[in-house]
Amino acid sequence: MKKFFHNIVTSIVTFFTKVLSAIHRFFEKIATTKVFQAIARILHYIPNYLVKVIPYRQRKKIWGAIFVLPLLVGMIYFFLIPLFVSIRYSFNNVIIDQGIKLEFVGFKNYIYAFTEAATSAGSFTEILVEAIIDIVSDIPIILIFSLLVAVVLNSKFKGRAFVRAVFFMPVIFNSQAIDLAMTSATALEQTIQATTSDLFSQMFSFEDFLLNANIPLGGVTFLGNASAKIYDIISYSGVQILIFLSAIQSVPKHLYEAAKIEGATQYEMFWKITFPMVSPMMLTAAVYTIVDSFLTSPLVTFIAVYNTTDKIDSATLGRLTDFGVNAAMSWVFCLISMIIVALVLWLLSKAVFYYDE
Amino acid sequence: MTNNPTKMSFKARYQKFREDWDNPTKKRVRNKRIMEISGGILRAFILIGLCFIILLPLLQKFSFALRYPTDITDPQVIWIPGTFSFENIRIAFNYLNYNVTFFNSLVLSFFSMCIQIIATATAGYAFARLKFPGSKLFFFAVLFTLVVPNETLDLARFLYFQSSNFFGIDLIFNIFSIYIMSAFGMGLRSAIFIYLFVQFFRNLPIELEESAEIDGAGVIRTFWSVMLPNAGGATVTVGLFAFVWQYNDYYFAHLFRYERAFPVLTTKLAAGSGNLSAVLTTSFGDLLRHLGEEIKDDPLFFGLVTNTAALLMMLPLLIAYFFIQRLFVESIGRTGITGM
Repeated sequence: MKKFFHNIVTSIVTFFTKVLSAIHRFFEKIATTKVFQAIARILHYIPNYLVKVIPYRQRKKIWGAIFVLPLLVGMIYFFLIPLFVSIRYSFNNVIIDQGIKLEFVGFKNYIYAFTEAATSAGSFTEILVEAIIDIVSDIPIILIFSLLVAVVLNSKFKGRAFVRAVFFMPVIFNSQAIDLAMTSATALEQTIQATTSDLFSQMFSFEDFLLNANIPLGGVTFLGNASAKIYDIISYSGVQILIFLSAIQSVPKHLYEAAKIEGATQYEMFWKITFPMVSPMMLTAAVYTIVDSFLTSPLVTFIAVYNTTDKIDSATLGRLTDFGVNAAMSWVFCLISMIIVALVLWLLSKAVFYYDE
Repeated sequence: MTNNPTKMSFKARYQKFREDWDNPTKKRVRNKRIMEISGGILRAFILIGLCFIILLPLLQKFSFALRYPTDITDPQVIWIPGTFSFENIRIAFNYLNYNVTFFNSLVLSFFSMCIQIIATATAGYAFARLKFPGSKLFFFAVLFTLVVPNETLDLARFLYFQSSNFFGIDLIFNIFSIYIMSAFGMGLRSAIFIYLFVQFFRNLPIELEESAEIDGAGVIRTFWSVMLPNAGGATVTVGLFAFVWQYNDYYFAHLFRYERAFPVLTTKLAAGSGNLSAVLTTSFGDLLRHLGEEIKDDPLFFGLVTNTAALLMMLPLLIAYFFIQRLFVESIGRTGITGM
């Protein structure tokens, strides 16, 4: 029995080796024929020929297209298709039941989002308006703050290296995961705040102080909000400070020397030299600020509530499902963010000064 | 003898003081010094205050990490722990499954950083120097991807990736998805990195390329041997930011459902309180008996553990930051983003 199997196996093996060697010999024969060698020569010739025929400028263009080809594929698959899919979802009732089924409902998702959608944090419209006000009011605060800090960090003083290191630390620590974990740990923060808010902070109220200084009420609330958010403002202006700092350092030194000889003060030098020279960077910093503040806005967490990919519960929403409502909200958010970016760019580009040597 | 100011009579000294006070030159010098000193004091006040605000949460996390769990309900303990203990750190270590997830996070960030650098550098070079018809429009499209928040595409991406695949590769539940997205230039904030590289390559002297062309180098040779070695500044910046942002990223790890197959620090940290009670019952029986079973559902205790866990996540970056801090501060200046 054993011998029988052995014979079969050896015969199969020898058969295969014979076939393989025959194929090998066949290809060898082909490779040595004149026709094949001619083909090989042509194949080798093509790249060299192309290099000779196509001028360098043309080749550069072709290589440019090849270099961005993966980016194009990635953009279509990872960005554009999801973008259009989400537009389609926003006009449909999305039902997941062994595959995705779509029912066209027109603007019902949008209407639901604006009229009924609400969580414990408030309705969609309220939170949307709040988020827009937050983002719009944060832009000037963060830009002015980061420009001032950059000016201060650029001057020479003792311990500058340490202060710089501390100021850029939030750039490292900004993490959505940490924010998420901290929101679930608010109970601890509240108790700690309750114990630390001592007599002194009750005695000295910043807003009362401003009111006594005859500052109008609107300004007081604005400043009060800004001072309450000071940690957020610092932690989201790290990159902007870096941008402004490098912009200040690249201002030609001879401008300051001339100003000093003419007897200009530091204050005048800031407004007449530093500010105009740095202003082109305002655009970059502003766009970065807007993009960054979207990620932290409460709207994102609100929308995420409707993104329940693990549980499907359409009973609470009437005939609509979470997914369509989520897509509609996302689109409203996205459109508004684009409008804000376009407006800010348009406004700032009017104020920017371009220096030509 | 009268020249010696210490031996002068009071009246003479007063006379001299009056003269100095009215002297216009000395007046100007004095005013300038006063301005400088008061400016320095003001700056010191502002900077110390701001540094304190930045460091406060970090110090608080250290203080939380080192206290015994019962200290949270003690109203007398605010900053200095009543009983020093490493109990929180041990719990947070287990809660994060630190020895596995930390290594995973490092691997993920490192490889995605390398892929991001290669992908964005080639694209940036093409946009800056290899102009082809439509390249300007395409560059605008790339910048446009920045303006659309990733979160708005979350659901569409998840459902779409689940129902289709990318050239035969399933993306959801696949631990290589982040690398694939980075390789195709759509990784974490890749558009910013492409923008940085474009700015940098634009500012390199055109003579470098021209001399390479005259020496007979092709496009790839020029890019690889001439342009890329000169792009050190931009590469360091992109590498630093790509690493840090990937290390802190929650969005992609959540989108591709990394929790089970390849747990990283961020997904563990955001996992929630259910995970904590499981950890407590399995490996901290003694402590539970000592503190009482009900501590498992205590939100204060959960806050304490998440604070410690967040600290554990930050700590390696913090330690590394103090070594490469100078690199970081100078990074954007070297990319030439500011032109000039």
